[in-house]
Amino acid sequence: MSKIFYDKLLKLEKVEKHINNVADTNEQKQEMWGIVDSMIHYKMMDLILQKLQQDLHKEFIEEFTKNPRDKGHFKYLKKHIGEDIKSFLSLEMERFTLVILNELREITE
Amino acid sequence: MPSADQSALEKAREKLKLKNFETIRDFKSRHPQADFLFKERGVDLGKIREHSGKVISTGLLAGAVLAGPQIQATDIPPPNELIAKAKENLKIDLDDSKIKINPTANKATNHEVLKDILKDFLPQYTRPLTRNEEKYLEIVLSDLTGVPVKATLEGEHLNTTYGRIGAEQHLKRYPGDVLANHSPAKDEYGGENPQEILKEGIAPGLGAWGYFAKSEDQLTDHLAENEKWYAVVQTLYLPDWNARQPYLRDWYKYRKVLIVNTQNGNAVVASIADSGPAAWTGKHYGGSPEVMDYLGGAKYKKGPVLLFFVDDPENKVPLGPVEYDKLDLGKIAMGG
Repeated sequence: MSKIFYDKLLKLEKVEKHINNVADTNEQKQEMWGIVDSMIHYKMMDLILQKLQQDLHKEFIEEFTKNPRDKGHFKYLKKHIGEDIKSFLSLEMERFTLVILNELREITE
Repeated sequence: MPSADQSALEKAREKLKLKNFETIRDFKSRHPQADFLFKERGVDLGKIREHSGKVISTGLLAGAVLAGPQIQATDIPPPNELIAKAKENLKIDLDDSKIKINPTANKATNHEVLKDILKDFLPQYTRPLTRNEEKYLEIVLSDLTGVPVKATLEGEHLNTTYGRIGAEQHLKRYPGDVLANHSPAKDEYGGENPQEILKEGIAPGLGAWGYFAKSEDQLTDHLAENEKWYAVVQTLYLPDWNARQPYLRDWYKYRKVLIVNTQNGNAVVASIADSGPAAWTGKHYGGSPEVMDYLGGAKYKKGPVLLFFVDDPENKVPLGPVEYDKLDLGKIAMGG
């Protein structure tokens, strides 16, 4: 699976556990992961673009799509956003992951 | 009739799909332009990993095609010959009482000699140099600037020694530091026109090594100089950066480097104080406002440079401009 520059900020072990509880085959697991993965990317980009000033969105998206795994994207975000962007994204994604987990817990527990 | 397990799977799938739909809907409503930009590029953000995989395989292929021929060791004369040849081109007019340098030749100074050598020696476009190329440049740079330099120092080597530098902002040196505090005094570099030094502004975030001092009181002259003449290098792209922590972090902190503008020969000794820039900017290094001002003047924002480590175990080489463009009258008088 190809990396994206923000992968290290994601903690999805508990989500994986719940998916493994409901999905038996690899095919089923991959399908479920695909849905979770999609959510993660949209949420992450939503958070980034909320923080990044509007007139830099085009430049960032252009460069992100050219090389999604480039660690330099964090340098760019840090330079233009100023706050500790990694900590912010990490915390917000943790909250988002809890939302996903709550959805799954209702079914699996 | 579906089993309980299948029912749980179906329910989980439905819940996740609904959540996914909501997440995408929220993104599109908040960022319609961004949504359009991704569509315009044919990228489905939800499947960005697939796209990333395609980018990698395309990049590997392109890299193999674009890598051009590199200078072979046998193509290059020894460095001392390069220097001697360049110096031979100086023309001397003698009159009764003094030695004049023919202004049309204008190759009397080490500065001019270095400029000529770099013009002939370096490839047209910046790229990582071969070990042989670096060895030659170590000798040429050390000899002509008087600053001992190495491409590899104590086993450490950057991703490239020939790249493009870009302008950076001032860095906060201590908590509460503001741009106005970076204004040079009249007797300091840039003091005759402080606005040229301040115009880049101050970065909203901190450099990779954080504040230079814990407070204004603790900001020594030496630490202030580290910020004034700071360089940014791409430590983040070193293949072993994560694996060799905290050693590399400490090694690179305020490490002295010689930066040479390959277009005009201007050189400055700088101190590494930040990591970057991102590769996609097309730049490999960054320079503080003072560094950029000295390398290329008030309007200099980016350009090709050489960047080598300064071999200075006794910490004797000062930060700042390398003024090596003084005429070597002694050697000229001796006819050398």
